[in-house]
Amino acid sequence: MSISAQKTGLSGLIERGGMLALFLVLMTFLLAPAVFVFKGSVENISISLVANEGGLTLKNYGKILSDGYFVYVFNSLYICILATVLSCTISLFAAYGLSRFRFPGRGFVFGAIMGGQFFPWIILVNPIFIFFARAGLINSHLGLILCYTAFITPFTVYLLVGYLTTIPKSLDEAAIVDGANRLQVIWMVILPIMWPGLVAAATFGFLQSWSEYLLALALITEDGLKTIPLGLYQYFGDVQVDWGAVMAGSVVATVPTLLLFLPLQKKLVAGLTQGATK
Amino acid sequence: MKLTPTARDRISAFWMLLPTFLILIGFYLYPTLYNLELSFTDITLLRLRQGGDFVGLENYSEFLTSSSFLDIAINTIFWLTVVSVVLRLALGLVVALLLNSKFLQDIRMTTVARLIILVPWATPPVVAVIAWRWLFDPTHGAINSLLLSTGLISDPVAFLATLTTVWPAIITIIVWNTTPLVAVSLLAALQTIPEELNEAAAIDGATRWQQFRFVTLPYLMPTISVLGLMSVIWTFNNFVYVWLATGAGPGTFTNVLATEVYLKAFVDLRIGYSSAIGVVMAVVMAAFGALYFRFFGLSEMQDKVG
Amino acid sequence: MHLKTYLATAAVAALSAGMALADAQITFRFNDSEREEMRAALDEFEAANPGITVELQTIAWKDSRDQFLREAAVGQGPDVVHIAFVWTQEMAEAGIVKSIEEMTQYGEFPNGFDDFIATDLTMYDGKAWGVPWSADTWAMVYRTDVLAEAGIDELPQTWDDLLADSRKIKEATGKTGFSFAAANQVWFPLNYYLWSNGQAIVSEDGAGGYQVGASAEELAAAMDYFKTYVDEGLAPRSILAIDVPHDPALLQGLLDGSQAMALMPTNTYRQLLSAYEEANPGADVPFASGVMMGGSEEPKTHLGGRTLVVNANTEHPEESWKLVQFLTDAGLFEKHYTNQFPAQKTLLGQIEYRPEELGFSEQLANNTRTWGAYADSGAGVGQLWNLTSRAVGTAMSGQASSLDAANELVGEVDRLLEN
Repeated sequence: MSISAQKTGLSGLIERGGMLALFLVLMTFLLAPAVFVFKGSVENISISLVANEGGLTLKNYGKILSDGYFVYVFNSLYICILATVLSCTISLFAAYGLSRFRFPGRGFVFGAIMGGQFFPWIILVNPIFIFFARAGLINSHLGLILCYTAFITPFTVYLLVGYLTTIPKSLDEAAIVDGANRLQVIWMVILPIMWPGLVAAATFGFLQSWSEYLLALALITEDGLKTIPLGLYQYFGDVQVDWGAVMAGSVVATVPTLLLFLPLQKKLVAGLTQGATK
Repeated sequence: MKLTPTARDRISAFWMLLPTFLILIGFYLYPTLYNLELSFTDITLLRLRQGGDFVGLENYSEFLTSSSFLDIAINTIFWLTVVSVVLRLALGLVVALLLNSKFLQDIRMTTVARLIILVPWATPPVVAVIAWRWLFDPTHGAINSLLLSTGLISDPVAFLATLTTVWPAIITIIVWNTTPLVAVSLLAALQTIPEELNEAAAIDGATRWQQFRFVTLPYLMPTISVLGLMSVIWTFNNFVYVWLATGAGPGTFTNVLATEVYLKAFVDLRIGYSSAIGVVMAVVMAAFGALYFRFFGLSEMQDKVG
Repeated sequence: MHLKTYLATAAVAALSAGMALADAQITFRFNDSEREEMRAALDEFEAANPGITVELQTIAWKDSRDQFLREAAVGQGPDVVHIAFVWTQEMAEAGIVKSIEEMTQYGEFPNGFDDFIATDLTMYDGKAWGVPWSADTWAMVYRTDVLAEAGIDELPQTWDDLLADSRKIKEATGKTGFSFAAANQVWFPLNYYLWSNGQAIVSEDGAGGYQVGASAEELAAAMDYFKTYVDEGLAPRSILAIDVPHDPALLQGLLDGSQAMALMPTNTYRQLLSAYEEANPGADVPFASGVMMGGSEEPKTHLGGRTLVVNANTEHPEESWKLVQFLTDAGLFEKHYTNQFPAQKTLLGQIEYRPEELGFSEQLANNTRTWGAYADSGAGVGQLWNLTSRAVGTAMSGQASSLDAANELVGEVDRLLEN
C-alpha cells in the first residue's frame, strides 16, 4: 500500500503512529514468551523457573553440550532439510500438474490429498510403526525422512496450487510456443515467480518436521540417532524437570531455524514478482 | 505414434502426480484402512500381538452415547477449532499486511519482523506451553503483574484453572504458536500481487478499503482458503496444546476429541476404541471438507485453474 | 523373534558354560535422569564382562510404556527394560517379558528372589515376571521456619490438623499452608485420604470379586476436603491446572517460603533440598519430612517403584540376566545409583538417611501399601487414575457438585469392574 507513504499532514501521522503501535504490540506478543525462554536459558534455574541470584550463566548450555545435545541438532537439521527439499520438489510437480492440466478425476485427486489429513494422525502412529518395523526402517533416518516428507506434502501441494493459480497460464503457453518443454517451463518460468511461495512452503515443511515428537519417538530409540524434540523431552523426568536444560535446549532448537531462514526470508522482499506481469 | 496435445498433457500430469500418489497410498490410505479395521475390534496395546476380537459397532455406540460426547464435540468444534482458526487467520492477515506495508519497509522494520515471526513458529509446542503457563501463573506470571499494575483486575487470575478464562488462555497459546504460518503464507501471496494493480486502482480513485477489498483480497483468497481449510483440519485433530496446557481440565472442562483419542489410545491403551473415535473425527472432517469444497475457496481455485 | 538365533545362542551358551561368552551387544533402556552415572556403571560392567557391550537408551517416562509394548509386539525393543512396578503384570499379560523362573537358570540372586520387596506386583499367572529394582513412596514435606512463624510447633497428624494448620498459617502469615497438584496427580492424595479412612476406589468384595471401595457420599466428602483449600483461598486456584508435585510453581512456593506444607515423592524432595542449598549456600536447611496424614485409621501411602524386565524377544538372555544381576547388586546403589532406594529388604535396612529425610524412611518402612485390589481387579490402574482425577477436578473447579462428580465416578468405576 504505497499510498500511505505519500499521505501527509495529521491524518498521515496518526495513521503511521497507529501502525507502529499495532506493530509493536503484535511483535511483543510474538516475542515475549520466547524472550522468557531465552532469559531462562542464561539464568541459574533448576527446579523452579525463578532464577537464583548470581547473574547470567552458561551452565545450562554446558549441561546440554555435555549431554550430546548437538548430535540431536545435527540429526534434526539434516533430516528436516532433506525431507523439506524432497517434499517441496514432489509438491511443486504435483501442484503444477493439478493447476495446469485438465484430466478426468482431477477433483478426486484434490479431495484425496486433503482427505489424507482427515484422520487424527496420533492414532496413525501405531500402524506406521508396525509398517516400518516390518520394512526394517526402525532406528533409521531414512524412515523418518520418508515419514516427514509424507507428513508435510499435502499442505505444500495445496499451498503451491494456491500460488500457481495466481500465475497466468499465458506465461507457460508463451514459453511452450518458444519451444520449451514442461520441465523447462517449471524451471525457467514458474520457479522464479514461485520463489516466495516455495519459501513459505519450505518454511512450513521444515518447521513442521522440526518439532515433530510422536513419530520420532516411535521410530527412533538409539541415542545417536535422536532428533531435537526427543532430546528435549529427556529433561522431563518422572519426578523432576531440569528447567535450565529445557530452556537452553529450546533456544538451541530455535536458533538454527532462524539462521537457515533468515537469508531465504530476505528474498521475500517485494519486487521479486514483477516478472509475472511484464 | 504421435500423441494429441491432450493425451500428452495427461501423461505429463500422471508423472507429475505419481510421487504424491505413492505417498498418499503408503502413509495415509494404508494406515487409515488399517485403523478402520481396528475400530471394529476390541484390540488393546497389550494384545497387539494376539490381535483383538471383532465387536461390530460397539466402540462407536459406546463413544457416541457416552455422557461426555456432546460437551467434547462442542469444545472441539466451537472453542478449539472455530475460535482459534478465525483468530489466527485475522491476526495473520494483519501481520502480513503490516509487513508488506511501505511504511514499515521505509523504517526498515520488515527484516527484523520477519525474523521475529519465525520465533514462535520455531518454538516446539511443549516449550510454548511451558512459557505461557508461567506467564499465566497468578503468583509469578507477567500477565497478572501487568493487569494488576494497570488496575484492570484487582486479584490475580488463575487463567488456566478458572472456567471462564481457561479457553481464552488455551486459544492464546494456539494463536501464538500458529499465526506465523498464516502470516508468512499470506505475505508470500501478497508479494505475487503486481504493484501496478494497486497503483492503477489508486489512480482510478479507489479508497484504501476498496483497494483491499477488490484488488488485494481476491488475490489472497486462494491462499486464505487453503490456510483456513488446513488450519481447521489440523486444529480439530490436534491434542498437544490442550493436553499440555490443562490436561483437558480442570476436570473435563476442556476435553476435546483429540485429547479423548490420546487418553484412550495412550493412557487406557484401547486401540480399537480410539480408532473408532478417529473414524468419527475423520467423517466429521470429510463432511466439512466437502461443504468447504463446494461453497468456499477451493471451488473458486478450481474455476480459476480450469 | 528369531527362534533359530535364539536356539543357537542358547546352545552356544550351554556349550560354553564357564567360558567367556561370545561377543554380544545388548541394549538397556533406562529412563531416569542419572544417565552419566549409569553409563559409568555400565562401563564397569563391560570391563568385568569382556565380550558384552551395553548400549544405554533413554526415553521419556510417560511414553516408555507404550513404546515398549509397541516394539515388543513386533519382535523388537531393548533387551533389558526399566519399567514401573504397576506395568509389570501388563507386560506379562502381553507376553513380552521373560519369566524370572526361566531367567534364574542363568544365575540366582545372592539373597534370593524373596529378598526383593513388592514381588507380588510382578506376579502374573502364578509366576514372577520382573525384578523389583528401586522402591519409593510419597510423604509430607514442611518448611519448618514458616510453621514456626505461624506458631505451629507440632507437625500435623491428621487431615483435620492439616486443614486447621493451613487456616492458622493463612491467618498468621498470609502465606499458603498446604498446597498440592490438583489435576492429574491429585490421584495420590485422594487415595491417601480414602485409605486413612478405611476406604478405597477399589476393594475386594469378600466374595472373590471387586467393588467400589467407597460410597458416593464418602467420595464426595474426600473431594470436598481438597476443595476446601481452594474455596477458602488457602491454596491458589491455579493448582487446578497443576498436574504434578514437581511443577515449578509449587516448588517455587516451598523454595521461597511462601508455602509451608506439601506432599511429594522422595526424589522431588531431594531436588528441592539441593536447590535450596544451592540458592542459600551455608544456610540452615529449613525443611523436614513427615509421615502422611491419618484419618480414622493409620496413614497409608502407595509403595511405588521400578522393575527391571527382560524382553521376551532378546537374543542374549544370558548376557541380559548378567546385567540385571549387576544392576541389583548393592555396589550399584552405593556407588552410582545413589538417589534411589534398592527394592531389597537387606539393602533397605542399610540405608543411612539425612535427618531431613526421616519422614520418607518412616513412611517407606511402615506406612505403605501396594495398589493391590486396584491392579488385581483388572480395571487398570491407569484408567482408574484418569477417571478419579477428572472427577476431583470437576468437583473442585465447580463444574459439578462434589456429589454429582462422586456419583458419576462410582458409576464409571462400576462399569470398569464389570468388564
